[in-house]
Amino acid sequence: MWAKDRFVKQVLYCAMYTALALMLSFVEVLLPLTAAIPLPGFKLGLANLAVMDCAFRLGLPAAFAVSLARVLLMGILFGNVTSFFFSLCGGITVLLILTLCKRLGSTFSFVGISVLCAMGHSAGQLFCAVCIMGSGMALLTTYAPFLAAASLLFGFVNGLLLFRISPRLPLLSEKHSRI
Amino acid sequence: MMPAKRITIGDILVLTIAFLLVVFFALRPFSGRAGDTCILSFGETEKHFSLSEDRVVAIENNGYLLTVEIRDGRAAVISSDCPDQVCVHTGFISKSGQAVACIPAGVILQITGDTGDEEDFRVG
Repeated sequence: MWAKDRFVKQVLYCAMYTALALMLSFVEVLLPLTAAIPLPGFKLGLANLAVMDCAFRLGLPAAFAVSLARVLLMGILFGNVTSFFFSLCGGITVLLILTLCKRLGSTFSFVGISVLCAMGHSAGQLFCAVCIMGSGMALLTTYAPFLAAASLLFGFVNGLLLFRISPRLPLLSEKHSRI
Repeated sequence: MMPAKRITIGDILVLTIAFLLVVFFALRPFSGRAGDTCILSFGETEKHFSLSEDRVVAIENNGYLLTVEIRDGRAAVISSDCPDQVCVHTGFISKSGQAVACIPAGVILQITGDTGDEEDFRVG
């Protein structure tokens, strides 16, 4: 009975994080950011907030599920095949970095983790782009500077947000999230 | 285990390294000397054009039509019907190692110069 309870709780929390991640992704779609800065793959990375928080509260398997569900749903709702693979590559890199960050314990706060994840996300997407397009060097030198600068800026801002928000989430305080 | 509740040395280290990376990337394109050839690659094809001859080239790839102009030793994608127009906004390039990429159309326009620059370019 107790085990079933825990399972239900885990599924419920995963669903909540997926909804949150999806909503944050949707906010990004609504923002006319690409009109202001015409670079593809240029995003605020708000959905990463949900994935990062989930990785530390519910664990990495849950974060993996949430990230995959978000990528799939966003692909179905707004994307095409290309953007799906870009998101997938970025998402997987972020999860690898989160695994590393969890191993390192309290070496970083959310600020450092967020910047690392943003950089990793860009690197993953760039890797995907190089794989798709074939000619790597030109793409790397043209896009890497913009992506690195954007990752640093948005990663830092997102990190500060999560750094302030995460300890204040009442429902998912550490007592509740032990599942 | 939750991450640190305050800003740690690790954070500052990450931020510093990331910042240095951005600065390094930002300074890189401007170190190159003027190139003499531009390489236009799309799909499996790769075409070389000399920058000393002015010309206009039209390319069709992935269902998008791009116009590349070479003028006064510089090259640019002057028009494209791709949705984001990044390639057009990049403008004219002339330094060895610089490049314009149009992701939707899968076209890359790249400048190369003398061998010295090539070597410098390959390191990254």
